[in-house]
Amino acid sequence: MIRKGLSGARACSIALLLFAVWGCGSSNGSNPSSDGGVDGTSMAAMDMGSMDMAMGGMDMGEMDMAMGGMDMGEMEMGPMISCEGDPRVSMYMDGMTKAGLAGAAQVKITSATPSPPANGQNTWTIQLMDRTGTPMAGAVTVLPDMPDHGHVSPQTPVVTAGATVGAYTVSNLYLFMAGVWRIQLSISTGSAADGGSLLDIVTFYFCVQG
Amino acid sequence: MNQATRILLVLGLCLGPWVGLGCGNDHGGPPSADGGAADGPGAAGGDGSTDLNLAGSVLTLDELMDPTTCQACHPSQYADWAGSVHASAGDDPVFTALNKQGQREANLQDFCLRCHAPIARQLGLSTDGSNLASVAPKYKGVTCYFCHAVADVQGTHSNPIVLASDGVMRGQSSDSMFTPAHASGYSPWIDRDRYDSAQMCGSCHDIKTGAGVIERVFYEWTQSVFSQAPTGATCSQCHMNQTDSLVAGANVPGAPLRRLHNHGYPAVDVGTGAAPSPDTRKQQMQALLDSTLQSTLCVRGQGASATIMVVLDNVASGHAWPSGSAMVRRGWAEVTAYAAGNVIYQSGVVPDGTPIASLKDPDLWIMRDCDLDDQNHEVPPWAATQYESSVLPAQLTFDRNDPRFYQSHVYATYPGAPAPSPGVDGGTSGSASLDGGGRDASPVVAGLGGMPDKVQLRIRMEAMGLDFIDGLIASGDLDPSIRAKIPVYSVGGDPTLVWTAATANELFLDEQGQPVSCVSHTNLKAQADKVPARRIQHCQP
Repeated sequence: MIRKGLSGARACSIALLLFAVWGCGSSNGSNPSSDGGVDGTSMAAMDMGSMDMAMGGMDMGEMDMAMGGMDMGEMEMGPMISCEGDPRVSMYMDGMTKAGLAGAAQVKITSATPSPPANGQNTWTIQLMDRTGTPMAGAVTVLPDMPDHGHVSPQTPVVTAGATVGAYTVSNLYLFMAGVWRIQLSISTGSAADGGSLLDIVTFYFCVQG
Repeated sequence: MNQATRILLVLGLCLGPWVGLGCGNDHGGPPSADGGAADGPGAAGGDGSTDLNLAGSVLTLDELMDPTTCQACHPSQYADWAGSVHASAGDDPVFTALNKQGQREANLQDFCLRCHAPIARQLGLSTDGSNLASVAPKYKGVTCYFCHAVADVQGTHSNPIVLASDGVMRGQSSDSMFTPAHASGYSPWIDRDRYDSAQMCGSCHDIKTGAGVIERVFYEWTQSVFSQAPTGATCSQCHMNQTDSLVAGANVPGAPLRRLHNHGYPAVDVGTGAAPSPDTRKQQMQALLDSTLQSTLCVRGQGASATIMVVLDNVASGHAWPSGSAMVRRGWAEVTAYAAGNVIYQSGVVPDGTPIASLKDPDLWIMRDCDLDDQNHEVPPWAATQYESSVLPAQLTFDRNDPRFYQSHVYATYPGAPAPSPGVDGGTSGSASLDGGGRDASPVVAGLGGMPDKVQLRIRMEAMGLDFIDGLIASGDLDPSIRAKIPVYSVGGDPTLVWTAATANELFLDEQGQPVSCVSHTNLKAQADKVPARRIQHCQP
């Protein structure tokens, strides 16, 4: 199948050259145009609506095969629908810490599964600290909601105390769709039943991909 | 063979050991139409296609059209897809039955093929779908090639897609690796974070038949806030959930790590593929459905004059609820009130296996589209001159200061008030008016006759109305065994809500000074503005 007269070494040189042009040249989001192909083949199109050009009778052997024959630079694209660039959201990192509105407490997310927080069930381990960073105990309730959409998660997160002071696991954190999620952790000095009072609210925003 | 193909072949031969030449064609050749080894160079397929065989190094267009070719390098995506309704779109027994009926009654020709077997239609292998059973599987259904070769979308419904024939497989990534199997490129039509991708999906998920409707999903989405950048959501962001971790996008050495997207497209219907199991697929769909609606269940008033109110908010679907082929879907509210353990009222309660649409229940809140003829008789979409709809509208805005925010908060009261004059929608593309057929516009309703101490709400959905299925069976177009395979969902928990005096978490006095006690698992407030449920007038017994 190799064209006669094309030596193996020469062929491989062409191959490597093509690889550089063809396989790596699209990191800017555009793609090699047909001009970057070997013989300037252009993209043929089939109109599904009018069925003007049935392929049944095509001779594939004679058909030019464009190689990455799309020039995205000439294509008008629709808007991005994504929360990635939303200024409210944080990029998740293990150990990320936020202070509360009242400045009385801080919450460190020591780990998140999955990481970063994602569509579906999430579990976090957190460390509750006072304003100086000293671990502290407290009652923690968690409210996940989508502030733009105006709805909460239909499932209630479960907070379980860990082995050390101020360590908790937040499970059943159900972020069920793509978009900006706000996770509000309300810190009380004790449960309402114990006569505890609200001490602080710590809020995280994440962009959850669909 | 042209110059480009020859050099491509050389490229593959040189780089073959590195990339896994032919992408895992361990059997010594690319798969042929029937999944076996190719017949040889230039072999013409028995189905009329022309096959350019390049000795396993370069995939021909015909090979690229075969999903089993993709499977070698993309097994995960293939496995998802194989169990999807996209995979079985050309073989689905309900599609086959409905197409058969449509051809018989209205000579639909290739109308259904446009989306159920677009490649077969394109290749001239079928003109009306009647012979699809004998068409090779690779040409039927919504295949890898059909989506990943989209070059343009030139309309909004009934498949205006233009396919490229350049052998370039398009995807979301702009840093696609080189592979001798096929050329690769970025396309906004496949980019799940772009509006364009929804337009691509929507081109087949929006089907009109003149004055009738089959699907309006894309139109519904374009009218909703979910189509607005940047805070909306595209089709793929909900129906092609991605992996939590980065994994190789292809089963070849050096493949870039990606978040892979679920090509099973969970929604409502269950494909006929063997794997994953129907139960697994149904679980995925259940999880998606469970989060689409917010609900609250209230008891208003006291004593014998007490009534029940249900509020539903289609907060997360991004289109109407139910959607898809809403003319065959049946969503409904099942309400049961108890006093001292005895049922004192119920609506929407049917035994398992009984079509909800057969229930003679004046209070039934059923959510569906219904195609009608001039005499307001329910007819198939191809015979429709108008339609009525009672589906829940999608959310129009995220701004709570905008009155439109509350138009997706829809309520019904039980027992229901007398129905006003019918409000049937005509036209070909618009959604039904919000106040068309709204029975609950009048607040004057009879009471339950007693004060309930417990009320239960179940939100239910027949993926395909059993009445519709029974019709296809009765006409001889559908195998009766299919009926038992139609999913019937309970949405948002089963039961969705249970009201008692103890579970109530919202209490207020309404405009008439009546106490209202409600339960909700979400922050949907019954006291907030809301609109009465639209009621189907002509498609109920």
